[in-house]
Parts: sequence; structure tokens; C-alpha cells
Amino acid sequence: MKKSIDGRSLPCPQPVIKVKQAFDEGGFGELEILVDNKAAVENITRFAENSGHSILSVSEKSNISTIVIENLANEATTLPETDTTEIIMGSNPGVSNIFINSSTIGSGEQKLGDKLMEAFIYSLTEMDKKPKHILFMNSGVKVTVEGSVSLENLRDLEKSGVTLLVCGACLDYYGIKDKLEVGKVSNMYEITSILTSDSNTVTVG
Amino acid sequence: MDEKLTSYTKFSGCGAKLGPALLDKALCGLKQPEYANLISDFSTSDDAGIYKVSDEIALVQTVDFFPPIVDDPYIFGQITAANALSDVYAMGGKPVTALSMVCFPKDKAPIETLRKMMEGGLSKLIEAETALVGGHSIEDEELKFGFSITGTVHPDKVLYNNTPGKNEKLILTKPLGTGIINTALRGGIASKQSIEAFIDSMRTLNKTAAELLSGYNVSSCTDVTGFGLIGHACEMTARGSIGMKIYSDRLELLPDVKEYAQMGLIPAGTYRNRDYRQKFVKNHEEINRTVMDLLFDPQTSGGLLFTVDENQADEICRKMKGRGVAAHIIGETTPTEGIEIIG
Repeated sequence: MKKSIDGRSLPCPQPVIKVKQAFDEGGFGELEILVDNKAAVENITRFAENSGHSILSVSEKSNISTIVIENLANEATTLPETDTTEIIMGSNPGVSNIFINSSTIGSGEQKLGDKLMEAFIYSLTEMDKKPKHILFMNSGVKVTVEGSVSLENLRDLEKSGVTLLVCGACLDYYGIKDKLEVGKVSNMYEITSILTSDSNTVTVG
Repeated sequence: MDEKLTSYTKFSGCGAKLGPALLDKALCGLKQPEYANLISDFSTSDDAGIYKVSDEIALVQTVDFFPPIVDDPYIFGQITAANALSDVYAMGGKPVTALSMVCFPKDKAPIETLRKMMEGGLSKLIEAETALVGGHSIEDEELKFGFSITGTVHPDKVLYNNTPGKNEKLILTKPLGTGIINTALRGGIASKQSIEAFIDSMRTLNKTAAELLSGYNVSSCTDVTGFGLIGHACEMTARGSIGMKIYSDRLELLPDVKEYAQMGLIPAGTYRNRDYRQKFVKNHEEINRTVMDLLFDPQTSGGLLFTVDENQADEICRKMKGRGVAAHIIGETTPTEGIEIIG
């Protein structure tokens, strides 16, 4: 199925935002976008390439550019083009994202669950292939706040280039937003974007 | 807040400044008589004009105004003042007086908005110990606000933007990325932390950074604004005898800037800056596109960019950091012409 967006006369950056929204919603095989300025063409090209979709064509006629992008979102084998400035992961890309949605691992004894989480995060620091993102949600956010035994290890991970994103609403819910020690406050939109756009995710919790 | 200041302009986040190519066309070859006391005018694309009034005192004069880039009028006022004052600091001067200028859509915006913009601007002028002496206002469909600042400097202590020396380090005193965050903000997807950091950075005066320069062998200084880091580095190296290496991996960025750049949230000004100036970057074809986008990102109220004796660079950075200035060594001068991106 083909979807079309008329981005003509929309102020910057609305054309690329509309394209992003279309890909977030999905449900099409090809997206055609009309725009009337060069900046919009460049913006949309960047979005498509960095989010792992392929540009089928860009054509220009009397100052109106038509961009056609193939939606590759459903093909699990498609990896987004990584920047050369990103961490080089070798030929096997490893896991892109780790989604931690509880402060413990598993649902048995709490003490054991806490220990396992601590050990898991420590083990991550020892891995050659580190994930790109670690996403913390629900009680998982407690691993990133004051008093957590994993803070030093998380800081090490951050230093080695891993992005830690912590659900702001969850911190608010538990009343611990001012206790955040490591990572960046994020939101459902950003976390969902990463979970749905990047190649693979392992859920822990 | 209900009021959205950015709705009073059509320049929704993609920059209102005339592109460098267009500006060059308008100014190229423009001549005036050689006044004996005129030290620096528009012909050298420096940050401010310099006019000697005595052997001890020269005037530093500049003007800067632009449409809203944030929705809060008080904060917008603060940013415009910090931005205008910065040109005086970048010349080694001390700001002394200010004139405000405003274009105001009186039928669309309540007059309290103007009041708040003035209060915000004044708060920064007071911080800079600069007296507001007057101003000019006109009615306009598009809101614009800014200041003309006059400062003083000793005629022998002016910091020009195009006189870097050999064996020097290049230091930048604020993180980059205001153009990209502004675009993400217009797109409605900028995170709270990125907006907060963006506002804080833009309304921070370059006063402390400027005060710390005086104790060191600083050979040239400018501030990073609309032409992006590379655009201003090009102006610094325009004489041709000295070039620069810029370490792209040592640049400090505002939060989330890289993610937004990869999403394509790039202001049109970046592309104008790049098209005009990428030829001065010797290895531009080898540079990752996201890195290029960051290097050409137009900044509002950006940091000071200066060159200093390489033996003093670490110390000056340390001193600045100790006073809360986000100074980093981001490059070095080279005896060969042009700019090279490393890292």
C-alpha cells in the first residue's frame, strides 16, 4: 500500500515530523512526500536513512520535490545505518536495546531478584558488545536512583557510550525524580520510538 | 503558559538570519572613507565595530535582534540581551550602555508580553552592569526584539576574530546544538531536559568567560552564532596564513542533540551555512553527515570561541570550569591554510 503526504507550504520542520509520524503509525509499504524546499528534502533523507528505511527516489520538477521511501520497518533483518561516530560493534551487531521494566530479575524472592539485577548490570559492563540503549520503566527506574547498588556500573556503561533512558512518568509515580543519579529522563514517546525502530531488544525484569 | 510567543513569527525554528552568501553579495565592495579613528568596521566581518575616542578608550558597538525562539517572553528577553552583549565580550570589551529595539504585533499580542520581554532583557543588562539608555519600537506583524550594545575597550586590547597565531589551542565555552533543539521544539518533540539546557545555555552571559580571558595570551576571539562553529572558524582563519584542526569528538553537545540531528530535525540555516562554507573544510567529503550538521548548526547566543597559547589552554579551561563555564579545547591552529576535521 502506498501513502502520500503533501508537505508543500508547511513550515520547517513539519514535513519531516509528518514523515516520522507516518512511520510511527505504519501500515504502508511506500511513502510518497511532496515538499517545496531543499531543507525539507535533506531533513527527510536524513530521517529515512537513520531510521533504516530506504529511499527509492527523489525527483524535482518546478521546485517541487517528490521523495519516495520504502517502509522496511517490518523486516527484522534491516539495521539502521549506524554513524561512524557511534560505537563500532563489529560484524555481529549484538543486542541494540535492553528494556528493564522491574527493579528485580524474575518474580521469586525479592532478595535474589535484587542480587540478580545487580549482577546482570555488572556483567553488562564486562561485555565486549554493549547495547546502544538501556531503557528503564516501571520499578526498573529504581535501579538508576540514589541508593541503588548499580550506580557505578551504570556510570561505566554510560561512559562507554551506552545511552540510559529513564521513564520520567515512572520516576514521578514513585516520587523519586529528584533522586535520579544516572541516565537521562525520557518519555513513552522516545522509548517507544527506540523499541519500534531499532533492530532488537531484550527485555529484563 | 497559554501565550505562545513563537506563534508571532513565521520563522518557525529555521532561522531568520540572512544567509552568509546573500550577505556577502550585499556587502562585498561597499566602501566608506578611511576615518583615522576607525579601527574595525563591517569589512572584516568582526563581531562589533571599534572606534577610537582617545588613546585609552575605544567604543565597541553592535546590534542584534531576532524573532522569538522560545515561548516565554521573559526568557526570550533574557536570551536577546545575552546574545547582543556577547558581541562586545567577544571583542574583549566591557558593555556599558544598551538601546532596545522592538517590532511588535500590537493587535495580536497583549502589551504585557512586551513588558515581560523588557523585564527579561533588563535582568541580563543588570547582570552585565550595562545601563539601558533608551530604545525604539515599531508596530509590525512579526515580533522581533533585541538590543544595540555599546562597550568600551582599550584600543590596544581589542580581540579580533581573524588573528589566531601558531601553536595555539581553540577553545569553545558553550555546548553546541541550539539550532537543532529549536527545530525539535518547533516539531513538538524536544524533551524537557533538552529544552531546559537549551534555555539555560542561551541566556547565560559570556561575561565570566570574557573576564577570564584577560589574564592569558589570547590571540583571537569571536562568538559562535548564526553561521555555526565552522562558519565562525572560517572567519577566524580568513587571512589564510593560519588554519585549524577541529576535534569533532571533543565537542560538547546539548542533551539529545545527536538524536534529533539523526531524525532530520535540522534547521534550513545549517544547509545554507554548509553550502557556503564546506569548501573551506579540506576533508569535508570524508566527514560523517551528522557531524557536519552539528558543525554547521546555527547557534543563538553561543559561546566564545578563542585561540590561546597551547601551554595555557588547560589552565584557562580549568579556571573557566571552576567558574561554571563549559569550556573545552576543541581544536588547534595549524601553519597550513584551511580547516580540517579530526575524530
